[in-house]
Amino acid sequence: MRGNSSTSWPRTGSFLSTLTPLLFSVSLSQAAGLLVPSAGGAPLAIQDHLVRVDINNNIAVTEVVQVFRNDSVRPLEAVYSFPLPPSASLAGFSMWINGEEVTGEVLERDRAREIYQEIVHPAVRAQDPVAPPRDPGLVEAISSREYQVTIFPVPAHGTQKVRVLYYQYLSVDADRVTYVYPMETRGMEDSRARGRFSLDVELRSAVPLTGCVFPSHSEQQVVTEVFNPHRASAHLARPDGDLDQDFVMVYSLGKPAAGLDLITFRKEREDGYFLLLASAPLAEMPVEEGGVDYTFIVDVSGSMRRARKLEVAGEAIVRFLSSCGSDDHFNVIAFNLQPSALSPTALPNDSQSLQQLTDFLREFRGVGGTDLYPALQLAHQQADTRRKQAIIVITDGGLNDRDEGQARFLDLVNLHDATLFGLAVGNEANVPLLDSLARASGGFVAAISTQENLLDKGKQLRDRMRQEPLRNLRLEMGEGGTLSDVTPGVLPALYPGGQIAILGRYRGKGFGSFHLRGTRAGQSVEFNSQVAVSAVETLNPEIRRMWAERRVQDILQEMRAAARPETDRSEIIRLGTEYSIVTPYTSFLVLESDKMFRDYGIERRTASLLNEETSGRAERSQRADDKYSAIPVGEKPKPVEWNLDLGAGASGPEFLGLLTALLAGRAMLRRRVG
Amino acid sequence: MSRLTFPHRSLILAAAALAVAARPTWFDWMCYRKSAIQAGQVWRILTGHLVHASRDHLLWDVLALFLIGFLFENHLGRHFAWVTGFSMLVVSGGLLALQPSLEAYCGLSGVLTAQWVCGAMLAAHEERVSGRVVLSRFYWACLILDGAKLCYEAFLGYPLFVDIHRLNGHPVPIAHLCGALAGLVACMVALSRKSSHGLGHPRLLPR
Repeated sequence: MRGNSSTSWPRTGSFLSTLTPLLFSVSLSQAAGLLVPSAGGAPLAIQDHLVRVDINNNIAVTEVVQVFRNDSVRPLEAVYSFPLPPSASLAGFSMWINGEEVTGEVLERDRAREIYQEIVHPAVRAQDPVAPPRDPGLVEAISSREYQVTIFPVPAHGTQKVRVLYYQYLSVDADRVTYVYPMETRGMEDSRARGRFSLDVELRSAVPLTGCVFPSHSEQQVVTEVFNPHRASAHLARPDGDLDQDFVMVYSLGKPAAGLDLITFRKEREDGYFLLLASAPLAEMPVEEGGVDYTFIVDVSGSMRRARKLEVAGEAIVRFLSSCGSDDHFNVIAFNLQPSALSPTALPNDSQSLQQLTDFLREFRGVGGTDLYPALQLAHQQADTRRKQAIIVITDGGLNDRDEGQARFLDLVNLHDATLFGLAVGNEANVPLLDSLARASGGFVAAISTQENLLDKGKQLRDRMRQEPLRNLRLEMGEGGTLSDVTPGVLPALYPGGQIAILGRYRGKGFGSFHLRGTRAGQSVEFNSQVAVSAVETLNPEIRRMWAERRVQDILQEMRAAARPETDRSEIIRLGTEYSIVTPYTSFLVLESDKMFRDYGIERRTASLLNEETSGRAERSQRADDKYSAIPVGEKPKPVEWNLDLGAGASGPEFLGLLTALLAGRAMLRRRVG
Repeated sequence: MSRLTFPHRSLILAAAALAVAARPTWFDWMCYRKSAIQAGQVWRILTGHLVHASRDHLLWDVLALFLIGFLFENHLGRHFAWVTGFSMLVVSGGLLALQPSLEAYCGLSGVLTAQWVCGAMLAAHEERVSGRVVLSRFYWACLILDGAKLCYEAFLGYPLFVDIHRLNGHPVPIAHLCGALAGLVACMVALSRKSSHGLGHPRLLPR
């Protein structure tokens, strides 16, 4: 077992105490990014691996610089592949050519590959043998969370340096925020940085930070520094540079997220972009009464064998059920390529059934692939339609429909009246599919690293599930503005203790109000945020590309669900090229010089986007701003909430107390002096 | 010795801040915005100090203005208006020069700091030349207290006595430092003017 590394501020309270030592201490190989020769063979050695994470009010900007070494005697074409966490958007990729960093441009996928092939093709190179080799790079999406870069050439006994930049919003779970730097996947052997390895996190928050723990690493491995309640840093440096496990940081905030938080970005004479975060506090929601049938669909494929995952999943289910009532029933369906049910009907929630459950799961050794569909079918077939049904999928695998259509899954989920929840463990779980199914049924998905505590997460899941969510949510803007291209198009249910992020565009100037309306237990609920909508907002430019990325994911999701024809790619290509986003239909092409971009008629957009984003970040880093509005449920909105990044000097009640004391002191002195 | 008088000048300034707050749409036109000032909207250099980020921000600033008025306004006397205007210029200019990354700012607190520093120094001087050493020391103590507060803020990067969640904006301690500088300079000017008008000499006061 491994210890936790923790840094505590006052009032860490029960948060820290609930985090137990690690349950997963896996030794899988890394996926922070590997450079593999395209002709086959072992990955190139990782010389340096440097990560810098800037988290400002829960918007994380992660920058990864890696240097690879080609120890072979000939130059290689190599493929660099790297995963991104769920909800992250790739913002930039650059590589060093002739000692200089070169940023790529996004083009339609086919055209980008065509240009790349044209440059690296031996016939083309043979035309001018004395010309120095040109070094193109090509970044392509290979799935919703994985990218690969083809680099040519990596010189013999030489190095290749690459930089990856991505943005993500870290959602708040009650008062906790988790950041995961994904490194762990299976299948690769050499996972050690031979030179430097470091991971630096700079954390800023307008809401005071009350604690921070690192479930993935021990106290000796992480050095933390707390500058003030709004700013802290963490540094992970491992002498051996082993990159075999995720880096997980969980920090807690001084107050739980509640109401609406709004962040905007707007350029002059353009429609603005917004990120609206809606949260419902845990305590103020009615708790659902018992009488629920819980069906746990547990992945028992080969990947679950590692690190006692199956046993831990069983323990998590037992702990989950122990907090349920006696009128709740449960069943367990284990699945790999075939499903197998604990019982043909739901069992009562008693000690005898729990023992049956433990014995049942103990039979599985963790073999085979993962096919969720038959398991889902079985769960629905066995459901007692007279009772309320909840299905909880626990998996760490890619499932079977990673990039295929999801229509048959959605048809199944829509046909039955059961709410589906997901617990996606690790970096390879098919979160998009689970998320799609959960949203369709009114549930949610919790994605966790294998370095996190599954028992703890299971309990959180239970706490959240037993509450009545806000459903049928719709977002509107009051007088003073209009909204467009809101994503997700259909807003998911908002569970107490959880948070949903809504991105979109807005028009209008002056004063505007955002209204989020929905229903909870049959009653109308409304959240409001009134803001001063300015003509120009430059501090959060990342929102622009986060919006575009989410929009693309929405369209892809519609395609997978067959709600949109597969051939309808034009909008994705437009968004990809306009906002420099790598999608299944657009790729990042890195060329050696500006002249080459000009020669191929490629407009340079990415550099200016990155410059704007870098300067926005630099400005934000000067402050721990508190410009978000936060309106607790039931409380009337303040008359004015400013969304511009506003500085303000201020007084306060204590200051007035001091002044009053001074006045009193002076009066006394005057009486003495006469 | 100066009598405790009603701070009517502070009242006028507070009334102006309250009146502006009653017209929320004015905020966008009055707030200190660096880009707008650079684009020629120079009135924001002065008007930015009259608008506030939230109701709390306004309430505490106006109440502090009153109490500082009771403490120092009678010592500031006819200097009140120009010290106020001068400190608005210095604070805004200081933010433009020293914190160029700051896009927007609002609030009276920079001006309040200037009034505190200038008022306390003038009062200390006045009481000393009047022979009231105890009261003079009291005002010096006020000044030291403010200096300690400013040092604390400069060191930690956020102001003392402020709940930033109620502020609805992020604190800018440098505004207070600029205000203190403005108060110091204003005091020098006021004392030199008093001196040149023969007002700085000891006066015989009725017992």
